[in-house]
Amino acid sequence: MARRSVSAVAAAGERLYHRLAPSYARESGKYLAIDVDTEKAYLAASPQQALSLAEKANPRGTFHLVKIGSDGLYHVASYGQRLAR
Amino acid sequence: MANAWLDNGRPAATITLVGPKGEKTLTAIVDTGFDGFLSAPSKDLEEVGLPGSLTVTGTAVLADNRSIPVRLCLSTVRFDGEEQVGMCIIASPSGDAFLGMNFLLAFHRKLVVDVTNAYADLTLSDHLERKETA
Repeated sequence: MARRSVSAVAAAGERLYHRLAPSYARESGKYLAIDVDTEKAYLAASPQQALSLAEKANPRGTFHLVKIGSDGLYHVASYGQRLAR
Repeated sequence: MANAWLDNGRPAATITLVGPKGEKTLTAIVDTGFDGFLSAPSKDLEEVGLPGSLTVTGTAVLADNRSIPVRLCLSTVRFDGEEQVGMCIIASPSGDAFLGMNFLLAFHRKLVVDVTNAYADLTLSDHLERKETA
């Protein structure tokens, strides 16, 4: 599969998350690793655990991480501009 | 002895990134407005063999409420003789590394800052109950 941009992967992941979110409404504060190729999601208490589950299922996968019930995986209040790539 | 200091008024600490291709020691700013583990310049991550072949993304919410996509990787960090694993935001190639609140949680540290006396420290938390890090 051709390598996709970070923006494209994140956008696909967010679309999938919005579709899946109702199923995880009771899991607020936990994390999902969403495989944007298989559209499967892996739930765990931490992002690294969720990623580990997802990677075990699909070692060559492309994943998007979300924090359930939050507007973003992380908040970067004071130095956000440094993330521009 | 304190294991942090004030760098132009910002609390900073020395960490070592541990990756498949080696290790790199960095100065990182402690950013209490960041709720993640680590944000590091891509140049430094590449030197230790990160992020590897896996593509992992997430969304970071900035102070003005804009959401931006970010690339992430799992990172191993050594601090004060201890190693912990957490997610790292892969930031622009140059610039500072930043430690977030989950870094403090992972290493069970509390940030002590006394700007008047130009002093900062990351001391062990009084409450050492183990929690999962984000």
